[in-house]
Amino acid sequence: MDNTKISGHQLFSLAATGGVGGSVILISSTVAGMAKQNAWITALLAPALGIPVIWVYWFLGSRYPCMTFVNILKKIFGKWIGLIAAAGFEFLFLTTAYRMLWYMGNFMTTQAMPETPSYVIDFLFMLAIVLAALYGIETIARASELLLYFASVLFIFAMVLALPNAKIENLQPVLETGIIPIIKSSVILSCYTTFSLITLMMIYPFHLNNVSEIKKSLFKGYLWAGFIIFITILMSILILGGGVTAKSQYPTYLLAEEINIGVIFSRLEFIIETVWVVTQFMISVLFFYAGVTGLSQLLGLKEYKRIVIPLGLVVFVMSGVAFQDADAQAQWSSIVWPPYIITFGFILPILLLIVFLIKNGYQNRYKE
Amino acid sequence: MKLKRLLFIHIILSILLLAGCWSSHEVNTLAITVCTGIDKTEKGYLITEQVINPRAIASTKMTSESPVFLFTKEGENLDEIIRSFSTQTSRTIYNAHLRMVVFGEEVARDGIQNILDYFIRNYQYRTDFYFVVAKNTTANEVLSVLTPLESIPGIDLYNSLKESEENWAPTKSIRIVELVNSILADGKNPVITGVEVTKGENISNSTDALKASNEIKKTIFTGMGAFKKDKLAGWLDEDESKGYNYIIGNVKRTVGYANYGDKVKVANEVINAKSVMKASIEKGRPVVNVEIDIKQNVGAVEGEFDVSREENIKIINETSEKKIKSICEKTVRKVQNELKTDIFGFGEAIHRKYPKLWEKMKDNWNNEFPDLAVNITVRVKTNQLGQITKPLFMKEKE
Repeated sequence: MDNTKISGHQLFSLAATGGVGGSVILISSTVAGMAKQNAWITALLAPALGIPVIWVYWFLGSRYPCMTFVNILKKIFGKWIGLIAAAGFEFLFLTTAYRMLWYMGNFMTTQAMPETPSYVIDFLFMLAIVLAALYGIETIARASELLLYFASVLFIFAMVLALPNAKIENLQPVLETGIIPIIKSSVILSCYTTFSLITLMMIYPFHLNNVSEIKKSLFKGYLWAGFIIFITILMSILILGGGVTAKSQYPTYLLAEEINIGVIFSRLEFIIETVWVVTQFMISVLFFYAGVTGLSQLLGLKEYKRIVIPLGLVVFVMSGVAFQDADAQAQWSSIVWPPYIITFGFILPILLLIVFLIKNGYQNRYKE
Repeated sequence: MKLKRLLFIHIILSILLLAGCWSSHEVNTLAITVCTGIDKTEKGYLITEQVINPRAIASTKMTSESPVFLFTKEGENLDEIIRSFSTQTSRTIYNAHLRMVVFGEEVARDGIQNILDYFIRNYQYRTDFYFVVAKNTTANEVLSVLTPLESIPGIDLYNSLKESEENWAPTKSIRIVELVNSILADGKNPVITGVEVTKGENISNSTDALKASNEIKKTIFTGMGAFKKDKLAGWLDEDESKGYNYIIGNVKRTVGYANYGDKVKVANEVINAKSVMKASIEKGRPVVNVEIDIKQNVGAVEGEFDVSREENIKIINETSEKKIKSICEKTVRKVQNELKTDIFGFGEAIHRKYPKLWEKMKDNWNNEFPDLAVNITVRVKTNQLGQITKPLFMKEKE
């Protein structure tokens, strides 16, 4: 393992870009499908529910500085159970990495270049990811620093320009269907924005040691991501209305098509596309990097960079067969993904916390 | 060594990235559509595509060629027909610059749901084009009219609709998102502006307009088509369309006149109009209150009427209020009694305020709508008199 250290601000930008992730263009349709015009309340509730989860991530990391997640797992759960749990995580990281790639190809082939095989787009994207992983964590963190502001400014710019099309009536009546769909949809939203940040546990205890700085950066980054997601969902509902948002594949892209101010500010949907490519790239890199470094530790390799290219090839090939069609993807993201990520992103960390507390309590009493 | 490796990577990347896009289409292989007309035939649809003729548009020399070409084809399915235009032209039909979709009246009466699905599903279409319905004519007829000022008729239609919506109230531009939303909503139905073709000589290209001796054929926006869900239910005339726009608050600027006595006629320029639609419950039944606030300037005065006096301004305000109110009420009456479709979104107003009550009545809304009580209040404020104060030829009383 390389022993590079990253700064708190870099962790902040990693958390922010990772939290926004692929959701910026897709998520409003899923959430609006469940909560209708109240989807924006969901976007407020989800970060509130997510903060304790992020706190758990931080707490676990803070007790074991200078360690990666795989080692923490082994330490808390013991050698064998820890190994199995860590293997499960590696599987999650790597399988998600190629699904992320699939989204990229699918988006490009539906919206812009239908005749291009998605393998070509996946290849270019994968090339960048593999390069990033080869250069190591410092490069990834610096890239996220640069890209975060670039993406945020572009995004806010597009949203401000979209404001004249907003209709406040689209939000009313508030809370028509009651609170239950909102809670349900905020759990789903957390599956995409909050729990993915478990990948960061592969990074911060090891590459960043200052515990209080970790805490500050993690929360700030998470809230930044929550804010971007909130704006995305709010604007989708305001401009497209609940019905159209729920039915479109890429609502944010559609709402950017609505921007039409004078002659200059029209046809700006590629701004949104750029923002999405950037954030999708960052979350893909996070998943891939977490997968690769984790696997190398699991296998006891000295240098993770040796398996980057082979695993990159595997991920690249798998991206083409990740889902048979758009239907399978919809099924997967609504039926398989939530329980899958909740198991690893929520239940396991909580379990870790409980085991940790029991063990520590036991040890403390033993010492006394 | 390192330099060599860098160079190698550079060359590989250049080969990969600079070779061009996979799905590239050069401009000279595209047929850019500005306007699509959809008519109903026995076989299914008759599609008319108005395609820009680049030779006439882009050349610096005057040409006698027509600025647009029309391609027509019959078939059962939109996507199929639009693809099969490749058998008629050497260029691929390119839809991203579409400005207008014209429905033939029959298609509109038959339902436009399936057509809208195609327009929003296909990736080439953006969402910024307008929809209109050809009134008493076919879409094909509308697209075949060449326009004198703007050489591309599709763009002329688009700009004319946009201008008239801003300056002359009885039209409304509607784009696909709004259209789909108002079809989806239970308590709201869409309206689409109608377009007519006048009688006259058809010009064969834009330079001929200058030579034409008689009245030339033109397209005119007249009134609006009221839809029930996705089916055309009937037409509003110009006054009613204006009333409709007053009620939904879509009037930006317009002109109206008010009579005072027999000889005096005052024309007013509306510069700002706002409307608030609120539902309330009276005696257990929902009532919709519409409040319209209008700011206007005096535009023209006919007859002897001193507009510089305060009491006369008050009279202008009152007569305008009465006039606008009567237009709006006439519109609501006609829509409730003849068309029986809630184009104003009164149902949505109830939905927003009383979601629980709405849950019960939404299935039966089409039957209840004609009996809904609607109160319209109009407030008018006259601000400015124009460049002169008293009418020019009024005799001063000593």
